[in-house]
Amino acid sequence: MVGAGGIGCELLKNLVMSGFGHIEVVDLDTIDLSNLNRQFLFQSQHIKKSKANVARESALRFNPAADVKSHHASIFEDRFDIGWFRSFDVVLNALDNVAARRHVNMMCMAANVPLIESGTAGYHGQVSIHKRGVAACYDCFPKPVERKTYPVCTIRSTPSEPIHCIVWAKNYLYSSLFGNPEDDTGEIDNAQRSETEANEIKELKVEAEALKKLRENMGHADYGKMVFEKVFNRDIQRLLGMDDLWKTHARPTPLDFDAVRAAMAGFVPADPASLAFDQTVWDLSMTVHVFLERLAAASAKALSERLLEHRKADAACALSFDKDDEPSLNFVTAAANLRARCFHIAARSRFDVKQMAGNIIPAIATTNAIVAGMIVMLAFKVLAGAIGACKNTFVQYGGERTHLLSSEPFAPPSADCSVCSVGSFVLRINTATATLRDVVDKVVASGTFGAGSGRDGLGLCGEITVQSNAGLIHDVEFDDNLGMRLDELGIRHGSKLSITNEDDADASRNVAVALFIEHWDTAAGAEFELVGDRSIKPRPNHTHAAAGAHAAGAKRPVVDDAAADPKGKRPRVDDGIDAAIVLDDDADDDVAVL
Amino acid sequence: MPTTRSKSRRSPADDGASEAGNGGASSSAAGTSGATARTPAKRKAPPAKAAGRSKRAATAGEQQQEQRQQQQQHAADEDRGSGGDGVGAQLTVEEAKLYDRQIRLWGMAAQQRMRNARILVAGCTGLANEIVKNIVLAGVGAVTVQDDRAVEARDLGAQFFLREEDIGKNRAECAVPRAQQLNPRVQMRAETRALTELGDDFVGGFDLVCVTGADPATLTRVDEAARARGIPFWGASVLGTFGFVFSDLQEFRHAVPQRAGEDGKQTAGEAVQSFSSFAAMRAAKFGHAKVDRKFRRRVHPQFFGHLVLWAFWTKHGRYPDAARGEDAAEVAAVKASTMAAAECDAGFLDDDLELLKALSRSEAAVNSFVVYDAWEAVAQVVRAG
Repeated sequence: MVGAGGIGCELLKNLVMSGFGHIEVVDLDTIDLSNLNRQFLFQSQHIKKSKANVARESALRFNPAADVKSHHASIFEDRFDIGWFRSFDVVLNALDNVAARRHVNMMCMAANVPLIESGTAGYHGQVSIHKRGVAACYDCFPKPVERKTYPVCTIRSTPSEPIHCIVWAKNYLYSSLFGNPEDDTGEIDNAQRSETEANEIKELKVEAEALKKLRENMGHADYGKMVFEKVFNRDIQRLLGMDDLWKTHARPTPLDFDAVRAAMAGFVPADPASLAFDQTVWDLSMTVHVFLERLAAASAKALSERLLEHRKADAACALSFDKDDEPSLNFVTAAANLRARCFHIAARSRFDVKQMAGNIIPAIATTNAIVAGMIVMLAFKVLAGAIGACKNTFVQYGGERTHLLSSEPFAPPSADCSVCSVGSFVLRINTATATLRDVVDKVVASGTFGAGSGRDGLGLCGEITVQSNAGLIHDVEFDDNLGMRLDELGIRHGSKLSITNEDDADASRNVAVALFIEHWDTAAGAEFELVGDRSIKPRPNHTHAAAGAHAAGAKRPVVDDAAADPKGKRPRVDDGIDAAIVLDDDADDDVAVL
Repeated sequence: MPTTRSKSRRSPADDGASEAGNGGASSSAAGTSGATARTPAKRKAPPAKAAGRSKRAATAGEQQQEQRQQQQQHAADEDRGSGGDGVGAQLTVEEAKLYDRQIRLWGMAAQQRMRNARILVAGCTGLANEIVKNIVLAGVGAVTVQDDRAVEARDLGAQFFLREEDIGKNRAECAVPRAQQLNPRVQMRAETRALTELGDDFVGGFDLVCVTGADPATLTRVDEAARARGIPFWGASVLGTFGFVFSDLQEFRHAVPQRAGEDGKQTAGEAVQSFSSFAAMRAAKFGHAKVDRKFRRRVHPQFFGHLVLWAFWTKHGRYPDAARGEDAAEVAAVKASTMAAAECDAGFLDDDLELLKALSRSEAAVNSFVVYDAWEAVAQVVRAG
């Protein structure tokens, strides 16, 4: 069971009560107060402790005879290798993020272990079955991008909804003042969408530079006023000068610092620990007060002071937004609402801002309980050898629905899925003594295709391409790395190599293969062993398998993508014309050759 | 080809998803989930709010937040006008933090009402363990668990609140302290007397009543007692991999999700659902309607399976027993007469005789009736009566 949170607690309870013999639980997280409304294996005395470990202890009370092991660790760790996955009859995901799901999916498909997936959000939930060669894997079909982004001009020039102001406050203002603006801009999409935007984007860059310069005044008594006047007055004035923008949008109104302060005479701030402070929309005075407090000189409440303090130890230190850090959340709430005021957009309570800025997904016990029950039903069917009776099921609740569960049969695997429709092997080899040449010549090229024992090569003919986690490390035009040892190339236990071959003589033997490296300490030189099914289906098309290439995957943090890397090059694309190579990697000094 | 259905579903619980689920669904679900304590005297129509917002369509998450603000406003209006019976204590800051993730789903007002609710869970069964876990975690005001029976060894396989050392002791008394650990804020009590001993007035001390694993006579009696006192009632049972939930909320007024009218203005509203009593549902007639696919979508055959089982119990004081040869013929006879009384083609239930056999092997054990089949992943609401 991967994950011991909302679904995990309910699922572990089901597993030990149902009599599943041997259970291992993996979760890297620790327990938080906000978990306790649903993760019932945890109580207040467990806060900050390991979820996996506490879940195990609590569940064992239900059935002391159950065999449960817990790992307070990340499922990405090397020790959770193919061999480890193979030791299970079924793997159950109880995760809350795509990266981990994709990783577990890859390992399960390679290890040929059935995987049951699940997820919940609010009243909705779902379960699905994935099995190599039988039921589509998690990556067979592209999924919609999960993180919504907004065009830079909407955020920086023409906001119209509260969320635009919140993204501005979090991803632009907060990171400009306290963080590293060069970092990932989060929900802001900086891509230029049209010619008319080009000008505006230039202006925005100038604006951002000025803000960066203003930061040098951190610690000054008037710092708050300076920032206020820049972003809520001068920048708005500049925008007002861009007549084109205001043909289709309402004109914003700049805020006058002195006027606003004058109106605050006699202002008494509300108790920041009260429920009202969190749940009710702040009036202007409260908003300005909170904003300035976060930038005040010599104040414990100021983020600027916190940053200055950190920088005494580390000059390059930066703060990053954390929704559970109250000063950060208060700042973003205040800044977002001040911007909203300029643009005549409704203000939001801190409670609402936290949800939008922190991407909080509402969660309750019951949906998790329902889904956990469905997972176990699927597990029963899988273990009974009745995978054909499995359906992918959705929980839908609300309104006047008559069907609270809806199911569909699972789809067959996609023939060109680079995760589950490729050959998969564990390659046992000594990464400290074997070279890349050993892999290419002995493991991949020698031997007979589709036959042989563990000590025989795969027998792939033609041009071999090798990619590692770092990117392309070998192909017919790029053989610089052949002499290097595997560990010198960053290949070690738990690494994955993606191999393709291109043989003009026999296209039916052009395949894609994944080699999962298992470091073999006692092996000598190039000694190796291949463990896996040697009957490999040919690649359906003739392009080399781009690692995990999915159109929608651009923004996902993919572990095994062939990202552009100084050591590697982009994979070669064969469009049918002889040997056309296109290189457009900025980091590469090579010249484009046709 | 991939089924397009999976694309149209939200990928649940992925980080980075900023929406909080289906705005429309959650609002009405908050109303129909039954978590609202019914206090007829206090109920008022929520103020109709004209939206003075930008024309841009709000995201589902924003719509939901607006609905919650409406609900909070509504609750605030209610509390002001109620005069109060003194029970409505405000949620504390610590509670708001604990319940944060669920408040974001159903709103502060609903959470407040839950906090003031007193719930009876009669019958300490495996199902009751799940129910108690869920409502205690949710932070209701008080829960009484009732059962006069002692713990047996086989209960340990289904009731995670029980331990081996509990065998021989009263079920409710053993389960309650462990359930209490899930949330010290809930006032929990064990009631060890039988329902028959407690009498009908007993349910009057609660805002909601739920009975699990009960026979049809008990379901009928307790439902009637609850009805007479205006108290919402649920009756549910699990039988192997099958189950049902019956709900009787009588006349249930609930908020209707915001809908934008033609002029873009959003209106709030209320709707009333009428529920049948348990007895009325059992006596439902289907007017010899044609048993086609449309009928099957409306009424799942398992519904009749339950009617037949109850009829058998009513006649013989027990459920059919697969070990008793004569029961098979008797089940068939009861089935015939039940279907005839319901004015439904007896053939509708033929496919599911296997179901009856499976159900009978179990020890006992929407608007308004949900049939549940775990193996087939079916949970379908049947409206009858």
